[in-house]
Amino acid sequence: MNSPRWKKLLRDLQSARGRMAMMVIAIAVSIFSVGTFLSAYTIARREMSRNYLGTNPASAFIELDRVDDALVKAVSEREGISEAEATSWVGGRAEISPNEWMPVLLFVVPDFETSHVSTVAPDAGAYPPSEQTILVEREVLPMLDLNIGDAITIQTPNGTKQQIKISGTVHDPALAPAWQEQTVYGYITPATLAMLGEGETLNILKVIVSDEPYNVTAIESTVSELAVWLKAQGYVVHEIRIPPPGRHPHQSQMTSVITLFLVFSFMALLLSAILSATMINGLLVQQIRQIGIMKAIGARTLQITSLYLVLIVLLGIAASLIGVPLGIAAGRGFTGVIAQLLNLEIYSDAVPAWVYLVLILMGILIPLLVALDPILKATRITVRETLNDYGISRDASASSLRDGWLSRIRFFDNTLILALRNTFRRRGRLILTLSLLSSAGAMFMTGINVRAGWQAYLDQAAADRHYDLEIRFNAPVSTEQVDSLLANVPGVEKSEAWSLTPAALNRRDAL
Amino acid sequence: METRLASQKHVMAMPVVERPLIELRKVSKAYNVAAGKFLALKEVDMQADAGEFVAVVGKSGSGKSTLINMITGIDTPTSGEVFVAGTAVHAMDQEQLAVWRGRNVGVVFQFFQLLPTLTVAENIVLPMDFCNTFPVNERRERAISLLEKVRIAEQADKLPADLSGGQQQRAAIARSLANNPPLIVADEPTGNLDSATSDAVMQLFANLAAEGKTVLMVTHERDLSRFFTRSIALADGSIVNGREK
Repeated sequence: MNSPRWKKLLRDLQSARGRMAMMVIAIAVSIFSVGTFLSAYTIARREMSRNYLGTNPASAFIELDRVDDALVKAVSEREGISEAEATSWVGGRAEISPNEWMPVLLFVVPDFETSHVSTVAPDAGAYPPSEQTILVEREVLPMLDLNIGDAITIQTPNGTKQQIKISGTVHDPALAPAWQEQTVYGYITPATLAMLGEGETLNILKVIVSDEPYNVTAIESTVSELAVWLKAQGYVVHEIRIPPPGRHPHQSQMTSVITLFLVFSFMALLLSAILSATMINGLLVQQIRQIGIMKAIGARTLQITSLYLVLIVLLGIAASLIGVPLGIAAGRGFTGVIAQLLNLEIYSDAVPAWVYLVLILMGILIPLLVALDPILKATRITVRETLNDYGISRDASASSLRDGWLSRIRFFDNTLILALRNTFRRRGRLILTLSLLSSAGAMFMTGINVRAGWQAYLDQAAADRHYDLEIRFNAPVSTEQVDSLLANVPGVEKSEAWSLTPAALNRRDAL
Repeated sequence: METRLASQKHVMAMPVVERPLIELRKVSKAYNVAAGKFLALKEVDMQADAGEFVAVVGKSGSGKSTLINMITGIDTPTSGEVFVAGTAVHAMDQEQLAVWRGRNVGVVFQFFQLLPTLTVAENIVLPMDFCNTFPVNERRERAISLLEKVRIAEQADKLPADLSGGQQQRAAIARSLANNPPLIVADEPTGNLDSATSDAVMQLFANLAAEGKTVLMVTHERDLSRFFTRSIALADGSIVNGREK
């Protein structure tokens, strides 16, 4: 760096520090933006898989009329099945304050200690729950403002209101947070279910296939054979659910949201690239004469080119030094938000090395790529072209045509014609400026449109609902009776009765 | 100092040749302009020997600057041949020309053209840096000795903007000598200076010619003729006289 040419480089950087700072900030912001969402995506995707696969998820849930130990043993020993377990899901309601109820979904686990299909992880308090107590998903307690040891009032379809003690919490990463679904998730033994007024008989068989457990076709084939066998054994198969194998139930939503953000980040990157190109172009216009002088005193094109390329690399490194750590930190923060939204436990917020590499390469290569053409054009210019002032130029004829055309516009004054001539004098610069403005405008409009689209979708969804309150009964009731009751309730304008019945598609392959 | 430096193998030595240092044979230069083809030089023949201080005079547009651009390799002839110190300048590409020019021609411009972000001394070291002449640790010492020669050594560490016009032109002359070239070409170097400063600058060039360097200078100023050993007058792209003093 003792060489005068490198001193010139550093002092040029200093003398144009405003322009350079703006360029570094533009690139750093785009790297920050891409870094945030790329690192969030990689962390969230990895941790989501880790959380979900850590539960040893079932390949299929088969709802039968009954599931007993003998059946579980027989299914476990079948070819193509690696594991089988019994469970039940029972809906109900919890009284969260006097006469205020919230839906409850109870997962019945015959043996918490030995359960190893679609498991839950102990979080706090007792595990397994003692008889006549309940474990709740960890997000339930803050939602209901309860603590371990408190009691919760639960009523199942066939039972009466019963208080049951919360003996601990678990983490069930396959479920959305309780606050999001406004549902109480509880985990109980069959004996506790019986205490709540339901039968002890379990009715769902969880199975994991042994061959190609992440191939939906292979799972369907194995489960179809199993269903035929179950029917042959006299069981009634009500429904078979095959979740996307190895994929968290909310993985596609997360991917969609982060991909949307990433697209915006890359748009920001494109914008910063155009901005950088505009600035580099402006800088080189100022440097043209100096390039000519350097060539006149013996500089080769390669020497001058490398000088400006190093300048751009230095700017890229500066932008990366700012953008990469901030982007990674923001990505980690954003992953925390995703984890909260999707009820995930972040075991590690490590960002893969390739993300760092991609971001650093982006920070250096993108300004280099956009600068390469103007730098090559500027440094390949001959000494005469940079120094002469004869008014003789290669595009003299094109300029004359343009100027002639402009001169014929009678109703413009000379100042305006001068401004127009200057605007069109350097077409490359004009195109860059227009690209910058149009890209920025397009990006802004895209953002506004996406926001407006989402808002319109939500408004439409709210408008299509056409009601303010939904009341669900735990047993069928007479429509007339309800209508006559509601008619006497002040403020009720209109009511409509609906009935919901779960159904399943009956396929030829028994699925 | 000059003798010691010139003896180093990486510095192009003054050629010992019988032929003139500068030789132009039927050099023409045409430019394409909106009105058609413009002939800036018309089959010009010219010679200059080592130690000559040659003035190139003529009206604006007569082809003076084009002529010296042919000699420095800043521009290439449309036809004809240019030889400088035995080198066929017309046959070289831009990259070869840059290296050749850096080592063999010192160029002095009317508006000095020092790089504004480098100090005066750094401006003088720059041609040595680009052409890789002289050992790195000797370059500043050489720059200072050249500044002493043009009598502005005390300005070595100032930026060009802190110098007067005359001092800047002296610095530019020192820069032109950085690689010890046999030929100095100056395009109206006194055009921007007052008469006293012009005289001082001209005396510097005359001294250089007296030391054996060939100095070729474009000028409009007739009252400087006393410094030249010869003048070449151009009109409409042709040499109209080559007058010995």
